[in-house]
Amino acid sequence: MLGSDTDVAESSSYKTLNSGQSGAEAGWASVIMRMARAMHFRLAWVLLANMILSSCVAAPPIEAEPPDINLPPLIDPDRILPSSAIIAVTSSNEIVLEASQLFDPNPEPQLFYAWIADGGWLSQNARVQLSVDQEDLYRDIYYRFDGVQYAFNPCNPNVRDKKSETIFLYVSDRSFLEVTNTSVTPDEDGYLEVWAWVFQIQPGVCDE
Amino acid sequence: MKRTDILVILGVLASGCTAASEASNAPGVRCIADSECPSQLICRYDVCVSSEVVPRKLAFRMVPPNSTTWKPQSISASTIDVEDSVTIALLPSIRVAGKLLYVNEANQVRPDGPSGVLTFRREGQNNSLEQYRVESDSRYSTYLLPGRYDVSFVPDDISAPPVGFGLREFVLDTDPELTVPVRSISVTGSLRDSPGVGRRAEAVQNASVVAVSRTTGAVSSVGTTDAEGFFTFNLLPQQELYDLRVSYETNDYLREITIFRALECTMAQCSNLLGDDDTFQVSLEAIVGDAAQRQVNLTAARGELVPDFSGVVMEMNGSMPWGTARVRRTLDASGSFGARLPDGDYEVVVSAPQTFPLSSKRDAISVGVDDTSITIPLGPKVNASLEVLDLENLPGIDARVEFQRLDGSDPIVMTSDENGMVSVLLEDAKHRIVITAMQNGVARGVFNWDPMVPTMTLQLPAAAVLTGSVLGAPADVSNKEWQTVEDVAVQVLENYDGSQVTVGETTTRADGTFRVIIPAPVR
Repeated sequence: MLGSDTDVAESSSYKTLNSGQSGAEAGWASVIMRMARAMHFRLAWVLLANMILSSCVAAPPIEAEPPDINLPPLIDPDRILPSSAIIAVTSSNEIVLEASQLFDPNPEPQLFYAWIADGGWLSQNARVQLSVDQEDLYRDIYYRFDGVQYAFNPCNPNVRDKKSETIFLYVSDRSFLEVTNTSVTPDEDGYLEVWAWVFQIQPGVCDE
Repeated sequence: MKRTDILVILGVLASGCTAASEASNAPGVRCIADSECPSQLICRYDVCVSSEVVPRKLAFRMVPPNSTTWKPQSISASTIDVEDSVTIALLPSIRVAGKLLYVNEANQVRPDGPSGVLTFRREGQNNSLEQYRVESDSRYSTYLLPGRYDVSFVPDDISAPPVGFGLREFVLDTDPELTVPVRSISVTGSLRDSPGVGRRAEAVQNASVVAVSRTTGAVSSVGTTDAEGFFTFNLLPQQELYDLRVSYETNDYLREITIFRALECTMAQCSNLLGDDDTFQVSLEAIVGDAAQRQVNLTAARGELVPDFSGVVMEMNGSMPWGTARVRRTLDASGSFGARLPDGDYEVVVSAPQTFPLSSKRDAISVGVDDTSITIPLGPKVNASLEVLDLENLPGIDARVEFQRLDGSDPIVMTSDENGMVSVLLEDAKHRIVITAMQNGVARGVFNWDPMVPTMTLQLPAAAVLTGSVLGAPADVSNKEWQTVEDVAVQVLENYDGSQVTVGETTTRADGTFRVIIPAPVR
């Protein structure tokens, strides 16, 4: 059983940082300048143009810019409903599980998410879009993404005879290589964050 | 070098750098001027939107951060002119705090009691669930919206019965008196059942036994039978008539029997209504009657290939004069199983995985003495093939496409491919399709899917922009200052065929304002 919200998030996340950019671009700049001075014929200019073009399209600009390092997405406990990590189910009513927003320090076009149940009966995955309104970054760091919801019915046939059930929300900044009924596999250069709700189902709630 | 050569080089460089510059634009920024939008659309708030102004009936849900005292709340649908800015008022929360009182029969209060979870569920609001963990000092403190709440307490000790406090109304900051009885009534009994037709009854081991109030739904703690079939459960001392529910797994399937009016309790004791003895011996065979062994077979409707039924879950809920019977079985490849089912009227529920080629089913059947074999045919699923197009007839790539069955079962969520296509097996029933999160797009759309027309082209409507602000009402009525509330998730909902669908979502800025993109109405 998961001890606390923090435990859930920290124990389940892992890092696969992109390798940082090397100083190769700066070296290329000096080579290009020396070549330009040495060139006296037309073919050399075309070659120069191709090299500059390829560096412009295939690599980041030469100017000093912060390296484009991928950072992990955030499932913020402040945006989780219900906020309790352990929920006593005392009614047959549906419980809406919700992260009202998701976040990422990188302006990814989309985040990828999956809902998985410990009992293996739920496997739903899709993606959320970078929110349209990004005028201010959340906590000055994070880009905002749309929220995700799942309506959990504690009396569905897969759950109603169990004493407890856990539902996981996985979020990755890269697409999933595989999503099964029990696990998700993110792309190798992606981060995976997870939140879990543990339900303790009281006997008789489905008799109402 | 010739001048034209330099221009060629600069042109090539410029085109490369222009592309990079465009790629760095924030996604969702679709236009700067009206001229960049398709005809009949105008550029508003950087998005191409419909120029047509049509009043809309919209509802709102606001979800403030958990770290504030503001609580999630909704505004029911009202007619809104999308051109006008809307102002949304947040209700302030009230503080509900105090101490659980553990009292004995003489109404004497004990200093402390068991730890557990205190639950406040707002009347009529499924997603308004507030739970507070009560430690051994018995104190609790939480914030709620004003209103009526179903309040209950579940002790950590599984042998202690849960306590229901009923509906309580909280309007102002309050310290409601929540008393938990120290004493409970213990009921001990034994459970026997026949392992098969014509065989002698024997003790049932590892069965769960629970008493359920016929009037309030209050339950006892759970008793579990031992090797000799003995169980014990505890009840709160109250004047109640109880059903007895027994459930156990046998031969890979779950069997549950509920016996009506099995137990009658007073504040002092409980008496057995199933027999004259005080030992509360429960013989399922005697109560259920000669529950015949039946063979249940799932099969494909005529003309369909019979698939591998592995993973399909079948549930049969029967109603009899003496109570109810329920069996649930996860099927193997054959799709058939044997079960002891008493005569009666049953509701059959077949739940199929998404990839299973036959449809789920919910049906009513009557099982009589002669029905030794029950066959349930399943119809085929329908292959839905959808093409998602944006307003300019370009493929809607990477769109999140949600298929919602109108009976409320779990939705299926798919993503459109690079051609905007989605193909999925759907139950043979009407579905609603909600499209969101399209790559580099801001549009959403809501459509209806009918199995009679499985192939559809879904063209997303133009967008509309709604602006507004969220203001928090002062908790103190003497204070007339309303405050702006930032970082509130705002969801806009619209009614489609009787149910509300989220058509847009955003967050309030530091000054409490927001703007949200919603689909323009389809003419």
